[in-house]
Amino acid sequence: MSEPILKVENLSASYGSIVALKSVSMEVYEGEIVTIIGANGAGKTTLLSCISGLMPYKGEITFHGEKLGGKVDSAAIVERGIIQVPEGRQIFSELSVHENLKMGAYSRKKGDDIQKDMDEVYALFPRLAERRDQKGGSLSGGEQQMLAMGRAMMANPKLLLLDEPSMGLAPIVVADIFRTIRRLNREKKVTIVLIEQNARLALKTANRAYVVETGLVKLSGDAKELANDPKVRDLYLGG
Amino acid sequence: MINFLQALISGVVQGSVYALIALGYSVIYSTLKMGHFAQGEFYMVGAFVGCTLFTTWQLPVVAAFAGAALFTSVLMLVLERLAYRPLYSRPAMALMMATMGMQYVVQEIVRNIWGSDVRRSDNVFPDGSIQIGGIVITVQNILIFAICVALMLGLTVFMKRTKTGIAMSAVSMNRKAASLMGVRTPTIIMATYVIAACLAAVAGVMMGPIYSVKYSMGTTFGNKAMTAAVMGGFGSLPGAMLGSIILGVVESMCNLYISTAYKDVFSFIILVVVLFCRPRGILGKKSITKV
Amino acid sequence: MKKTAKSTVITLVVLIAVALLAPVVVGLKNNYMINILCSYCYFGILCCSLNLLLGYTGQISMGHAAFMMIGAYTYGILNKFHGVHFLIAALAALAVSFAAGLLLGAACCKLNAIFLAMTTVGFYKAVSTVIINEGWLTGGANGISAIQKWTVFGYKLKNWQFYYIALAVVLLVFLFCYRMVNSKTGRAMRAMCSAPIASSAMGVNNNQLKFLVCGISGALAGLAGVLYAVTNSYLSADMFAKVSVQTLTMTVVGGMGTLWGPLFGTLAITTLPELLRPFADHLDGIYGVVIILTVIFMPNGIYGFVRRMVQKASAKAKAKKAQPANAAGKKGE
Repeated sequence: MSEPILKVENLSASYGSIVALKSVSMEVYEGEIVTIIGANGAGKTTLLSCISGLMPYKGEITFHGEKLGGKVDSAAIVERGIIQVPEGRQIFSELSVHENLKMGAYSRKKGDDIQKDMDEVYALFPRLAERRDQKGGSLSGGEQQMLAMGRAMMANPKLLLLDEPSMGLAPIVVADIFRTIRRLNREKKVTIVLIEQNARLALKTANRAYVVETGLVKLSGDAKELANDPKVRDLYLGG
Repeated sequence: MINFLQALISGVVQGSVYALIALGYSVIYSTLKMGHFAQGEFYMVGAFVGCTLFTTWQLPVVAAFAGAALFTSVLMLVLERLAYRPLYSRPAMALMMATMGMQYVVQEIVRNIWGSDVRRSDNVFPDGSIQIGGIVITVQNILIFAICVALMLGLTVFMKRTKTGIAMSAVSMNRKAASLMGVRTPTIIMATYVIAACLAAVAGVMMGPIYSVKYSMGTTFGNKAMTAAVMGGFGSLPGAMLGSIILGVVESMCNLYISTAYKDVFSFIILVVVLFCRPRGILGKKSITKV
Repeated sequence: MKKTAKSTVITLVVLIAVALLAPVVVGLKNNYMINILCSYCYFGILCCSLNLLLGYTGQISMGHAAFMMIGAYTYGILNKFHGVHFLIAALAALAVSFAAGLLLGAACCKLNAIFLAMTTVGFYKAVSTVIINEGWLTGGANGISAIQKWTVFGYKLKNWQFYYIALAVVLLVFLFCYRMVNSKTGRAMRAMCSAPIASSAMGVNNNQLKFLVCGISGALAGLAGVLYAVTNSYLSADMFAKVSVQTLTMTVVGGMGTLWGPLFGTLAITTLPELLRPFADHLDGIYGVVIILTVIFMPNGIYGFVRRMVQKASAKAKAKKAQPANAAGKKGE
């Protein structure tokens, strides 16, 4: 395999005196879907916060060979093409669907063809096209998740970080979302890091997986193999 | 009837000036979620700078406005860096106290530069008036109103059309998501304060000649503008404008029909009535707290 | 635990001793200094009042001077203008300011944060305006002058004697606050402050509690007003102009939501103008800087700062104890 596009080495992070990540190392290769599963409070969202430059950390994160540095500078991370779809959607409720998508393109350079990407997003999410001028806050949970993903796509991501896309959504909507995730990966060739509590679905969708517990990576490997691993089945897949 | 219309006009004009300060309060609250109690003091600073530039140094009017806006912006940014920046991640009370302390600090700065005396400033507007059916409208009134409206429109356009303005709106709705879209928070903070400072400074330059320039002029005016912003819906820009016009008219009507002395009591009553009907102000947004 | 209680008791005893001896030290005839000592008392009560409201229950009151004014003026009007006996006038003042507090309670039930804050500011301005303008009731711009000192059994109390009464009142108020804060009500206040929805789910009647705390807070502030009126013998609306901000500062600087906070805050902020006499011209500016610096560097107020120092010192002492005793020159404990 070639060099990983994202390399995390001995990452540790805390909130004041509470240690969220003790020492996490992982790799993400181009074009794959990597999932990180684990119980609540295991440190998964913290991991994404560190990568996205929202909080300080110790250890090293390298993207396409360049060190990201432990500074809290989320704009710089976005400029490198690492885009996060945060937990709970976090869309701009007073802005319309269209304006939300435009916000996604905030970091793009002047000359970029944003309209083309906008059309592609609408093609990908026809429901968003229907609700173009509706206020983001009035959309259903599933639609908001699609909006959040579409917004992220507008930033032209080289690496997409998804934080618990299934949270709070009905199963039928979740299936839809995950179909879209697979589409993004297949058709748009987006590399995806997926944080999920729905381990079963995550392991079905991903290529490789990491199991994180109490700030440490406990298991890692091929997603299908881990899905059949008795330890994983016991703890996360309901036996 | 004529008295009523006259009072209405002066109330609207006064209200539109309140709006410039009220917008400052609201834009800072909307973006940074803080109540900037010292905002009125920067109106006062604008008045002093305008007075110096226009009356003492006899510079053209435009220079007075521009100079006041520049000085006030720089002052506000410096003070923000020193006193507010360390407190953004602390409980809201701390920041609120700091802005209250800042009121005194700014007054002290002004007293040290310009002294404690009251200054008379030449009127920045030409004299003259027009008459429409028994109602006298001064040129000053017209120009003040025009400038205020222009600034309000300008701000609205800025917030909806420019990249920075939209980013400010995004930050006010969801700071984390905005950061994840690449919005640089320091830039937004700076833009917010500069806007608030410029609006306050312009108001100060306009009002200085009318109210006489003294270091205590910011506190009362600021209080009123903040009341107006709260009444209209704190954090809502249209709300700040609406609340200000209402306050201006209420005060004017009170002056006419009840008594000049009681206009503060009257405004208070109106505020209470409005807030009891709409606890977040007329155009205030309801925020849903997740349990 | 025992150590903390012991040090608290020692501190209290020392402070009370100092307070008792103070008039003797400054000179019983030194009315100026005695008045300052009295001001520690009534500002202390005022600060406790705001601390209950803001520090423990989280309700913002930025015009707290209004309640002090109401109390002071009720007392002044009844006692001076209508010859009512000072005790009755004082009780009436308490009742009226309690009622005013209930008004605040109504606002607290409906509004929060900045909306509440501006309402309290407006309330202060309204009360102030009424006092200045309704001369027939309040003496208007001239105020109420020559308020009598208290007489006990025909003997007119001297200033320093009144100080001891004020001191007794402060101690009673502190005791009251201590009891209230450590009671079921106090716990409910703190619960409501941090998680109103949860506290309501636990059976706390949030609205009732707000009314209660606001009323008590108003009454205490009114009490401070009464003491103020008697100490200064003179009342006018503009005397209270800076009091709201000062009280807020005392509460925040002292340490919100703690019992020691008001004490430290009052001592610090009331003493400040005296210490800065040479800079009297720049007092306001210095005051503003003090507020800002305190808020940045002492986020839990003076009390929090002192506590941290004490904790650091006792941690150091513990560390020293834990070190293996060296043969050379270490005394056994």
